Amino acid sequence: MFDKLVKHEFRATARIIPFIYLVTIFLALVHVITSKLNLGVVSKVSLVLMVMMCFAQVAIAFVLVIWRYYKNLYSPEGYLTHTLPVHPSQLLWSKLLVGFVWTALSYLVGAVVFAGVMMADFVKSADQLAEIFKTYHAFLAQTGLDKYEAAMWAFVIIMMLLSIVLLLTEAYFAITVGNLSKLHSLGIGGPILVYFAEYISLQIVGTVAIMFVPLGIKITTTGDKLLEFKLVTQNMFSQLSTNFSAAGASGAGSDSGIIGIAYYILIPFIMVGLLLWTARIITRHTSIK
Amino acid sequence: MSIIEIQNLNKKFGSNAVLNDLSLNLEAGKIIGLLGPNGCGKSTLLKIMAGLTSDYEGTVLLDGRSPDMRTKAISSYLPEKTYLSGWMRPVDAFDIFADFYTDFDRVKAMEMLKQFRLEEKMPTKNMSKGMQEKLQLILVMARKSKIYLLDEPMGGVDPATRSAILDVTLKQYSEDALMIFATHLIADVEKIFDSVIFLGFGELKLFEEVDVIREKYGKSVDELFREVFACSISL
Amino acid sequence: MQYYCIKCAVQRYSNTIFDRIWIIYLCLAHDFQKKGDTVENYFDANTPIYLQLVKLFTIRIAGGEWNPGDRVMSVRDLAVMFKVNPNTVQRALAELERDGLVYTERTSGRFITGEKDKILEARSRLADQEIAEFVKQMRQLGYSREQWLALVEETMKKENT
Repeated sequence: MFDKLVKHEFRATARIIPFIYLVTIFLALVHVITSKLNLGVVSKVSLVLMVMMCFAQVAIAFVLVIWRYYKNLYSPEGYLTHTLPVHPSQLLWSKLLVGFVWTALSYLVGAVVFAGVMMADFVKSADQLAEIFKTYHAFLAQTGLDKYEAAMWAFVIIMMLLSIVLLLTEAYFAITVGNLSKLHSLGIGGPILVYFAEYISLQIVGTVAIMFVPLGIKITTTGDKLLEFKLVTQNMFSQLSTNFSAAGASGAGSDSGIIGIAYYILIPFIMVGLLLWTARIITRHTSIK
Repeated sequence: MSIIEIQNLNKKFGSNAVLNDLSLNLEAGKIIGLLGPNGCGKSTLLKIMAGLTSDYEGTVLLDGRSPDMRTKAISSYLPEKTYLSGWMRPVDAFDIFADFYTDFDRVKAMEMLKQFRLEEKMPTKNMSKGMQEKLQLILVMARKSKIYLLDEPMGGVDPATRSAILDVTLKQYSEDALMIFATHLIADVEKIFDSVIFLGFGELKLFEEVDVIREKYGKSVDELFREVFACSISL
Repeated sequence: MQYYCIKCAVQRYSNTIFDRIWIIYLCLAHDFQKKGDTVENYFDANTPIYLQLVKLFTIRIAGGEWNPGDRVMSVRDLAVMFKVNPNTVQRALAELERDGLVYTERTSGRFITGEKDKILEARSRLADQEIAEFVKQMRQLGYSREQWLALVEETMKKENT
């Protein structure tokens, strides 16, 4: 049944969302063609619009995805959705999967189109491309990150993907909790209120985790390399206070700082927790108006 | 053998008791009228049976199970509202039903579509309310379910369509299935019922076979209803 | 192709053109309709429907509109045609079976009985009922026996002219 839910979820959303990408691609093409034809104004305007779209399409895709979640589950469409012979939690998972795909795609399309246009505009030869890569590697070597290059990129990509899932989770949670029977009287205010409460709670948890949980990355400025990274079990707050007092005492800056990473370790667990909680509410506390 | 068992069902909206200590046993092979004034809990009762409302107290069993994905597979629910997305065409709705319900008969659905003179490729948003209701009725009746929960299937349609809906309901009748027909258009419909339930503001006022009512009271169900509920207008 | 006459509510098969002509001939006086057409509001909602059905069928059989050996429509088709509950139809037919007016052949369906005496019995029973009802009504209106007998005669004379 899950695959059928996913299939129909795609069918319903593929009617609109891909068109956003088409707009971006269209603008990119307009720009590239008009540049070649030296139609200055149009070329510039389309470039600006395209860049705006590259960013906007993520936001638009996201909004459409959470709108779909709300509409399909809690508007009159919910009468159909909730009477389908599937386990209610599968409704959540299927929508999460499809929502994730669209949002991630919008990032990807944005990045690819942007890079493509940049290359079309500025890269005139393969040598130029090689130059760019050399500069990049040199920079990495300076910062001492070249040892971790693969890990760094993996980290960045995973973080981006996780952030998408986290955003969706937060939104889905807010919408589902906001539509509990107790909150029906608030209407659309329900989900919004819950989202605020959720956001603030996560911020608090995050700050506390970063500051006080003894797990961090110590960044030291040393002589030969620009930066050195080390995993330590000190908390950020203690280092900051040491730095402050040291700075106060000797008037000089310190040579190291710690970035608390506990929050980043915690985030996947929080996310899974929120998702399971949402699934539980959908299953146990349905109350469709 | 009761296909639906309800015991001590209580449901409140805020402080308002919409269903008050309701107990019922309904058997298969019957067409049952669920009658009561508007806002008295008919829709709520059907929603609970359909699995759309899980906040209630008491026992509700469909074929021995509390409302869950398995009861949804054997029951067909027709709500009062239109629940189809505006972009959906009949063929799209049929795709969904065919995928999720093993008892959905697509051939029958297409036939009924022709019978009701609906176009298979017309999006719901271009349809009139009456056409949307007919489409939803088709979706319910094209399934060979054990339980049919129909909430005001004839509201807002013209008399010719009402007649057609009664036809469809009677043709759908099966000894293995239970059909619950909630309506306030009693006079039009009462001859197709086996028994009727009078639901008065959450309470069970009457649950009786229709011919027994006619024999005992010498009145039609419509007349008795008006007496019991002392309304001046029965729409 | 199956045709039935609404008024007769009895199913007649037409396998050949001759059957078809015969059916049309038989039901020429009635509203000869194709299967699927229905009759609305045939029955009164104030008295038990099954009793009304029994009466209707009995009249048809006793009056000869339905012939011995004719096949009775299925419960479902009758229910749809008259827009009444199928169990009610079933109950009415069961009653008719008890009265001996209808019999069931397990594989082929229900048929009107061929037993003439049963039909005559039903006919006279119905006649008695109607007469009793008529007499009761006349008495309510205040007519004496002689008066309403005379009235009947007079009315019949008027009918014949």
